[in-house]
Amino acid sequence: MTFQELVGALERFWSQAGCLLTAPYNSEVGAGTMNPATFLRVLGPEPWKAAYIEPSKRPKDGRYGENPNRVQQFTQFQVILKPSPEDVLPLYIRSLEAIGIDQERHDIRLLEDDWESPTLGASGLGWEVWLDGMEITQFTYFQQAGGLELDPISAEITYGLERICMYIQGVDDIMEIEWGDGVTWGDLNRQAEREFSAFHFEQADTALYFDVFERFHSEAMRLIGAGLILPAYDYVLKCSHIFNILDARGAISVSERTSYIGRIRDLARRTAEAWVAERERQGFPLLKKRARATRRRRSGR
Amino acid sequence: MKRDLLVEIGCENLPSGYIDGALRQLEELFSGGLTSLRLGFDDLAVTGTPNRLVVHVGGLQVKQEETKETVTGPPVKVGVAPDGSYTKAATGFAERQGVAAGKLTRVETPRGEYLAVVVRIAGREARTVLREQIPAWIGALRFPKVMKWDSSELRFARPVRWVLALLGDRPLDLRLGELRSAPRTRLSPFTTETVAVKGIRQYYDLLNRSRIVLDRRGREELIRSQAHEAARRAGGSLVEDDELCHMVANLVESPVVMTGSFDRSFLSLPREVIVTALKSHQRYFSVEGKNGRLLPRFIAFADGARRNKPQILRGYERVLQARLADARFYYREDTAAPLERMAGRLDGIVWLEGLGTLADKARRVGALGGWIAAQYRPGDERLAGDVERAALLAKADLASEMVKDGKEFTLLQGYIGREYARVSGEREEVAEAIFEHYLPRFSGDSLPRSTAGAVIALADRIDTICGCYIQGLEPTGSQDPYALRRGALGVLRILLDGEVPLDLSEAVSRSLGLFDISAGRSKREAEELEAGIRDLFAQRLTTMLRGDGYDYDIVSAILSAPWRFPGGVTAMVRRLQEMRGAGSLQGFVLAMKRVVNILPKEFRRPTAAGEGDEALEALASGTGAAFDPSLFAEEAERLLHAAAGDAARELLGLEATGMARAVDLLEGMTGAVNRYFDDVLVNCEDTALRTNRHAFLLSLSRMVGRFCHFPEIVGDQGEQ
Repeated sequence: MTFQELVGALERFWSQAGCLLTAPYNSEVGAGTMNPATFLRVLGPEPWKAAYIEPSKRPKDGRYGENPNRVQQFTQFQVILKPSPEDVLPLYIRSLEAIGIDQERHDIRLLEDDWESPTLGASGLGWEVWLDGMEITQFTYFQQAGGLELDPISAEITYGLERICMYIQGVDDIMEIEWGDGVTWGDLNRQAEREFSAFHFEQADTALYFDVFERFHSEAMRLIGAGLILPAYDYVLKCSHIFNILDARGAISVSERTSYIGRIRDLARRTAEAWVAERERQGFPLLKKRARATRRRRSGR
Repeated sequence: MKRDLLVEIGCENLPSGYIDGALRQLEELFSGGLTSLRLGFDDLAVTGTPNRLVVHVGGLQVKQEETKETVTGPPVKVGVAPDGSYTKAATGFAERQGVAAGKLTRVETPRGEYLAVVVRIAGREARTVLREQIPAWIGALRFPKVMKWDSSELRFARPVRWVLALLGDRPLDLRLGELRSAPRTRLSPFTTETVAVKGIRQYYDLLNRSRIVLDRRGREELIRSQAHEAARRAGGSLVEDDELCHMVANLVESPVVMTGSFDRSFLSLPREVIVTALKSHQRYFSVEGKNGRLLPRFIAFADGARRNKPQILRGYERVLQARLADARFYYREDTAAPLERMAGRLDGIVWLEGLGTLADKARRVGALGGWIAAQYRPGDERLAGDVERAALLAKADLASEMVKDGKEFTLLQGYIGREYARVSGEREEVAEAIFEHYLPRFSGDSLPRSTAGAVIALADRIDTICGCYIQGLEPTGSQDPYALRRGALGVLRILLDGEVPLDLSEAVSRSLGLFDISAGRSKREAEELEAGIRDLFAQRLTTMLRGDGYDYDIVSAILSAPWRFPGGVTAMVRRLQEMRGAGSLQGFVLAMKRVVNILPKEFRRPTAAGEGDEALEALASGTGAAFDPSLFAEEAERLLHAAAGDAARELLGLEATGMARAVDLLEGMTGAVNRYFDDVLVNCEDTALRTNRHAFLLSLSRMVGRFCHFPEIVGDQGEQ
């Protein structure tokens, strides 16, 4: 199974399970959780089921394309189910069968992992999922996002696509994953790994990024004030990414770290609150969508 | 009639660390709950796996015991008229309770006599009350962290997906959150498929057939024996690890043992690095050969009997290979330069906010350690050199790739330092001291065996305690974030074990002197800090000695005196306790109390260190005393003065380890003291004589109080 066949299989499975297939976000994120399709949609009472891939950028993890396991950008497949269905865990196990991992033939294990994102003010309880001893998925019942207690609870399933693919294809180096049609992951991404590692570790202009952080921070605050929540959230994401670059560059001291993380969390909280207020003002439109669908089914259309 | 009750709470994998606690609570909740419901039972067993918590009550009564309850009505003076007839208040009360007025009785209460009726409460069906109560008991389970997963108010460690409840072999209908119990179970939380359970016997049969080992202890034993057997087959023996057996037993419900290999070349890594890489993430057991060296093999447990074992095992091996490769990478990076170079990086690592870096700590530990070493073995140049070197290097491994940033190998701090010290060609004594300075790490852990290790262990802990007190981070109530109580206990254990004559008060005062106290957040002066730290040690000593069975009053009497050497404290406590056992304590204590009790109230408090020393010296030398021996009028005065002088001279020369003798020396004065009080009228008319007698007795009291504050000792029977 190639990388793209793996993505296709997961998309088919989750689409059939009733998920919307949405797009990765068009701004740098460290994880699929930061995509508004997760971070904002888990807030408030509206139901939401979505699946999407997410190129996830972790500047600190770059190794110039020379480490078999570590890269500065990898790919997550993110599933968010709100409210979390009663059979979410069996559903996940069936999704593994859909990509050729039969639980009868493997040791699939759930190991306690309480997930927390200090920058997003988000946390949840769940597991890392092991496939024959290797971590392949984060499975989390979200309890909090943007500092807000969640109700209903969402289940978040985050597959590490490269890990899974390496296992399926039996390769020991991420660069050797076959993406599709004989082209490898390395063919596609080795140059990016080399260049971005050099950028994050050596070249990033720290004075520029410290300055930009402050400006984007102010911009996010201004936009929240102006009621432009989605644009505001873009600037929260940019602040978070800039922080990651500065951190990778070694420009942030231990004591500064806490304060930067606290400032981003504060922005995330304000955005989350504004989002819920705005959705409420609109009467939580997706609640109506569900009512509409129910009516349609009843009237036999 | 009796029936068995079985309740199974089906969960998505519970965290392994939560299971034992949950089972303990279930046992208490069910047994306490059933008892208070007046439902008798023969036995109660709880057990479980990560996927199911199970309560089995044997021989449960199907109906509650009938009981009687007394309902109080109006006071007698309101309910009974002067002519003895019942008033309206009384008849109304009887009517409301559904009894004739003739059935009213009287009860005595703290507020006076009241009318009352005794009502019979019939027993309800167990089935009915259990339906109401069991969900509440399950809901009362506490976990370190809980979560929500649906719209019910139920909170649990992980989602509960099914509940099986049987009373006798009939289903018991329970509601738990959004769930309803059913006579069905699941063999795995990975499936929605349920299996019918026809009865309690059949439940156990079903799990057995499905190879689910329900019994927690049995599972642990099975894992242990299978691991041993697998290690033997692999040509070696298991590296025993009870903690790991326990963890694995709470991770799987159908243990299946597998034996895998790793590349022999990794065996060049230090043993504990390999064992930790196997254990801490992957939960694999290590195997060693006859010569005690590791074999390139591991034992792992899968959950459930799988086909396809070779591929699963390959997966295990690949992951382990990657972890060992990481460890080898760290090891090579770290050992490329000598350990001393790594120690140079400690000035970039903050120890505690406001207390400087680890490099600052190393310098202080070196200074304090030098002084402590001189107490252990004055003039031992080699020891002094080793201590100085070990202090410099003790924390160096915290800057290593292997240990820093809190990964699995962080657990190996000290061990890694020792390995690297050896590779760097440090003296073996220095390497050993680096490892040993973390001992004891937990209650029951071994103590440093080398002198240099003990010295650094003491200096490091005293430094941490002093630093934290300066920053106002001392333990309060149940809060002790810097584990200072454990640190203090470690200091005491080391000192008592080695019978080291270390003056703890002076050590603390020297340690405090190495900090800039005025910059500390606690804003306290050295004297106040010393008193607080002394108190910390006294509390630990009390706990230790009480735990060893010594009487509270004896411990307290010794610790109220200005003690300096923990070894001296225990020696004196032990001697006094022996005397109590032999029946000889009472007369001795009585005599010593007479000395104190005759003094004005303000002189009966515990003696301060300076006062005690001064009195001791004065009595020993016969100079500088506040009294004049030439004014002694009675023979008994001269005799006691002479006895005190003899005792004082010997007391002054006592080593810290010989403090049991101090008790004997004080006891030796008993006769002279008693004769004194029999013959001498202390509060006599003559002012000069009286004042002189008081001054002498105050000196004597302080000399005695230097060692023991006798008024703390509880008088035995017959004492006035």
